[in-house]
This record gives sequence, structure tokens and C-alpha cells, in this order.
Amino acid sequence: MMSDQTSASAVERGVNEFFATFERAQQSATIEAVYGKPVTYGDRVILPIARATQIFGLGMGVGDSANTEGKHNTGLGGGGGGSAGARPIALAEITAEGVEIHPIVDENRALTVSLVFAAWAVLWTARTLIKIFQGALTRSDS
Amino acid sequence: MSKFRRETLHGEPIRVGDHEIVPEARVWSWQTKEAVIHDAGHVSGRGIMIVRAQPTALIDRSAGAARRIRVIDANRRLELLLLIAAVLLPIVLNAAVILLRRARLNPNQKGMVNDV
Repeated sequence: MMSDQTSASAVERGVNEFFATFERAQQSATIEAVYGKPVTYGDRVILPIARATQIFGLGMGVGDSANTEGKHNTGLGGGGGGSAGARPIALAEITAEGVEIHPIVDENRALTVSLVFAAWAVLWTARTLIKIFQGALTRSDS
Repeated sequence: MSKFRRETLHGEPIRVGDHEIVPEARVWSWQTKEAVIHDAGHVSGRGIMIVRAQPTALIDRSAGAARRIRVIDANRRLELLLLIAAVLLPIVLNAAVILLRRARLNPNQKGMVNDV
């Protein structure tokens, strides 16, 4: 009887912990993840601004088995993986005159994306030119 | 059980001179989770969660008026622009090829290029 209660509470604890993990992750998405601590520099305040993303997945299992002597053995196992990151996107400069936002450009990322686009454009332009000139050649042959 | 949530959050106001700046952000999250009770006291659970927080604007309150200053992600804007261009490029080029082919088939049609 005692061991039944113990295993039931272990199962309950496992399930509760599983659901609580999601609630904690939900609550971690606060405004502090986006706006950093304001830094006072002379008569101006600098406010760092970022974009934050968090992805995770997890699985768990709770098992209970009784051995030949009638004793219950409870096992709890689980695993998971995830990724969390923040990317700075701008700095806000707040002065007595107003607010000015200075965007932060990730040059490496911009260059990579531009190169991928350039390769895509070259591919399609070449394909189009081949189609046009192949058609012209076929026509002149006939 | 899937749940999607989107909310707008406001931070602590920052005071500089007459200006009161209120940071604003949008947080969206999606989660799916399930726990299954099997026979003989076996329970299993699995779940996935995605949380994304992005700044939207700084609200500048001064002299009794409020002004929204949008926060623009320059990288994202460039990526979006190039993505649109990457989708449009094949469509435009294919349309050009089709038009040229039609022009070849109808060489007497006015206004068409017929020597390509």
C-alpha cells in the first residue's frame, strides 16, 4: 500500500515537473530578453535592443513495476534538447531632445545572404539566356 | 494539446529630461505537449515549445503627447527584400522567355521583338 502511494506520487511528480518546464519557459519570455539594461553615458541613455528566440523539445517517461517479492520499483527518465539565442538589432540613444535608433547591421550575415542571392540570380539568368539562345539557334538552323 | 499565444509587453519607463520612453515588445509562443497514461502505471510525455520575442517600438511620451518610434531590424528587412527578389526573379525571367517565344511564333505582330 505504501509503495503504491510512493510510485503514484513519483509519477505525479514527474508529470507535474514536465508541465512546469513549459510554464517556466513561457514565463522566461519577458521584455528584459528584448531590451537590455539602459546605460547612462553623460547626458544620454543607451538602450540595447535585441531579438530573442528559444526553441526546445523534451520527452519523459515514468514506469512502475513490481518484482517477485511484491516490491514496487519506480523509474523516471527523460531527455531533451533546445536552443536559445538573442541577436542585437539596434541601439536606442535617448537624449533630452528625443530618441534616435541606430540599427546594428550584421555584416557577415548580410554578405552571406547577398552572396546566396547573387548565386541564385546568376543561375536563373544563365538558364534564361541558354533558353533564349537555344531557341534562336534552333530557329536559324531550320 | 497545442497552444499559441501572442502578447504585447511594455517595459519600465525610462526618463530622460522631459521624455518618458516606454519600450514595447511582442512575444509569441507556440507549444504542444502531451502526457499519456499507459497501462500498469506507465506515463510518458513529450512536448515542443518555440518562444520568440521581438521589439516593436519605443513609445516617447513628452509634453502630453505620445509618439511611437518603430524599431526596425535592418538585417531582417534586407533578408526579406532578397527573399522576395529571389521568388520574383524566376517568375519574371520565365515570363520574359515565354513572351520572346510568342514573339518568334508571331513575327508580324506589332511591337514584338522578332529577331531573338
